[in-house]
Amino acid sequence: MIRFDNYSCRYESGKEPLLHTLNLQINPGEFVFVTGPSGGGKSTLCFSINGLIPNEMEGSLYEGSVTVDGINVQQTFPYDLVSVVGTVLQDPEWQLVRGTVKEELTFALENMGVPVEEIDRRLAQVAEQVQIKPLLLRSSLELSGGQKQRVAIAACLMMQPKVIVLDEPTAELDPMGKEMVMETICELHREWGYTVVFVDHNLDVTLPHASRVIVVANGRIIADAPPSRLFDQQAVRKLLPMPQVVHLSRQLGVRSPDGGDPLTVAELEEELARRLGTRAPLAGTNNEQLIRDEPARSGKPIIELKQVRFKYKKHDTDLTIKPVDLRIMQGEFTAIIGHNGAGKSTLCKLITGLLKPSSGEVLIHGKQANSYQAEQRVRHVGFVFQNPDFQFVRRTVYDEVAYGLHIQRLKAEEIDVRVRQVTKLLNIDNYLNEHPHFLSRGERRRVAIASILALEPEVIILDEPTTGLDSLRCQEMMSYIRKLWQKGHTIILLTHDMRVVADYVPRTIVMSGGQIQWDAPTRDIFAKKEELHRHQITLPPVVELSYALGWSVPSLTSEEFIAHMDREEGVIETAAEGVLR
Amino acid sequence: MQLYYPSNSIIHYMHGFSKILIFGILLTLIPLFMEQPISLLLLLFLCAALFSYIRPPKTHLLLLIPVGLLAVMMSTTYFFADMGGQVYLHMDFGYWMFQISSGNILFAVTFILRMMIWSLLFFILLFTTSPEDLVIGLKRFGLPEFLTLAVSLALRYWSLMIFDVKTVMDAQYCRGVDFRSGGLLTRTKRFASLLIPVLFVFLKRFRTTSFALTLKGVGRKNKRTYYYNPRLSAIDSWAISSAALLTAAWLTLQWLYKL
Repeated sequence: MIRFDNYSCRYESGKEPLLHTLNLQINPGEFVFVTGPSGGGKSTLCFSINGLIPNEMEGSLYEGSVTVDGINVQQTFPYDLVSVVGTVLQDPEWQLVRGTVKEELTFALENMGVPVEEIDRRLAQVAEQVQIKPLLLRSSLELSGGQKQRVAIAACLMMQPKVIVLDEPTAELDPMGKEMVMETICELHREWGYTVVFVDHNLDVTLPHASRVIVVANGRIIADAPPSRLFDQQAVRKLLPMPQVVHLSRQLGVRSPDGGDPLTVAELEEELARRLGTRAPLAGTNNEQLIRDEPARSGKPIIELKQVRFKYKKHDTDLTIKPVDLRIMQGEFTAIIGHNGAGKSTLCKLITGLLKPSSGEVLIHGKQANSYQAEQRVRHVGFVFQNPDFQFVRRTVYDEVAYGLHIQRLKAEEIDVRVRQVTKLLNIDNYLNEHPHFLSRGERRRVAIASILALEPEVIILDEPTTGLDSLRCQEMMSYIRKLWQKGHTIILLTHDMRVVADYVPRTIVMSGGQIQWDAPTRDIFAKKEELHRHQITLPPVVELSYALGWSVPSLTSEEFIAHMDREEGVIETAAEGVLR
Repeated sequence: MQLYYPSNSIIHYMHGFSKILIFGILLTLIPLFMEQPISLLLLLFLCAALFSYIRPPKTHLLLLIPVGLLAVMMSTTYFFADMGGQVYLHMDFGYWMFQISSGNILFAVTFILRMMIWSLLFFILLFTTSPEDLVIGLKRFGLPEFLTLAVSLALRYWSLMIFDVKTVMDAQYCRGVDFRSGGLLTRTKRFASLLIPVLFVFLKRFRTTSFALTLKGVGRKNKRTYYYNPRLSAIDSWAISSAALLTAAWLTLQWLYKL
């Protein structure tokens, strides 16, 4: 279906190729998962399939050829390829170009001059395939992120393409949105036989669904293997952190009957059960002895919310934030989780003073928050936005980090010291003279954090700091954040990534419907399995597995799980020895 | 926020073409040929009646406040020039002067009334016409495809662009940039600093949109189909005739009696 023959491409101005010479064949009906580090060439591969390279990317040069269904892509303009290759881009909002869902679906066919009767026929078929009939008359602005990506997929299908290329379609979605998109794609692949090229970073979610994985790094294909055999290759193990299930199974020495890695919690559970023999796993085993102690909440409260209510419009009858009481102590590391629209961002905007509560009190160090001027407040609370591009106003990383300090009218020497300190801490001191907008996503995030950190706020609120980062960068980012916490900063993390919460954060607040549902140590939160599912929160694989094995207290990290298993197997072996004696 | 809201007024049922012709062209021309404030006031009442007939939601009504303030502020510029008439107050500030005279007041009031009439007419047009109908209406005037596409993209993205600008302001506020305090020069500098992040964010957004448009077949040379292509109804013929008659009648009266 797709064939790369000695294909390579680069920018006219660039020295290094975007893609080094490669040969690749993707067969009809395959679900190919393309992954690898950010900036490695995954999107370039996608854009070479749909013809955006070289036709839409000015200055891109290529050698060799890419053919899709027998058509030479580079010699065909992308708008003539739309009935062969359908593409879904990363940004759910800005790739929808029409006002309503129905208009979005019919737009491409109108441009192709397809008769109205045929458009009607395809509309009925696609609405059925992707199950978006109830959305047809709704405005794109009213849809959730997951629904928007489903509409983008449906708009592709209207052209009846043979291949669907998806460039990180779930990167900006919450877990529910991710699930919605994955379900749709899997259904299209399974039921309708589409050839799917899916670019993503999230190995935990995508790996079990793919029929083949291609790892791209530095413009080269590093690996091309079935998902269960991917981590057999040393190059991949060096490049990509393993999904939690694979990591656990390798640590425990568990393999599937075909010799590959189990990819889902169910598969691993089955293999573990087999390994433990016919004996029932130690249901209800207490895991508490193995659990590291959670740091006790100490110190003075730094932020207090007392009966805070908020609604966006005076005339609204529903409150966006229902009466909330919250205390954040000095030096705490807290995660705020919940589905989109749960009130997480609004709560943090109330803390940072971007919004004023309709009633109640927000106190910083026991003083009314609104009694602080903007420049005083930043010394207490800093807020790092999800998209760092919203922050950058200067031409170099140095000036960018120094910008907030200039506003505070600090002396040049002090500014210099602080800039160098924070950029060193976050490992961006090599980029001081670079333009912040031209750095990679992970580096841009670190510059954004540095520019807030330079102000030396006691509390740092980070909105989705790991979204869109590959697994390795995600680990790096979290280790930087942990470093800040260990240096004494109070950290509040808004995130949808439950693995990050389980791995790093001791205290978790669950928000839903503008209320704090639970506020407790992370382990206690993840102990509420059923309740969390009701609030559309998905558990990390290791927690799911703990429950599947019947443990009353879940393990939060792979290390904890393995320690528990070692102990459990030890108990089984001892018991078995006793029986033999 | 979307300007259009669905309802069941006759104006909502009219074709986009008719509404652009009536509210965007014919009725918009009339105030230009009105010199007496009383005539403008009568037209303002007529427009206000039509506006209340379409029953806009409260949030939409609030849009009249900034428009009204803008009209009043702009009209004050007339007091910095000599528009004739009886002078009630005159102050000289070297190169500048400030004067309240019957002529200045007349010009300022006329300006405010015209601005309010035009605002109401445009609000009637935008509140009752979906972006799709607006584009179909423009297309009927013979506008080229790229222009109608540009209009539809502007209507699709304007609220998202405002949201992005607001987020950039919030991000700067979190770094200590306060847009609500400081002198005029300081505030101007602070607002100017927003331009760079706004520009970069929009460039990235527009790149995505440009790719999306190409991947949806925009730019193909073949004849385009119009899936949604409503026809002019009897209501449209009746409304266009009435508006044309009203305009013609007013122009005749104006020519004869200088109203």
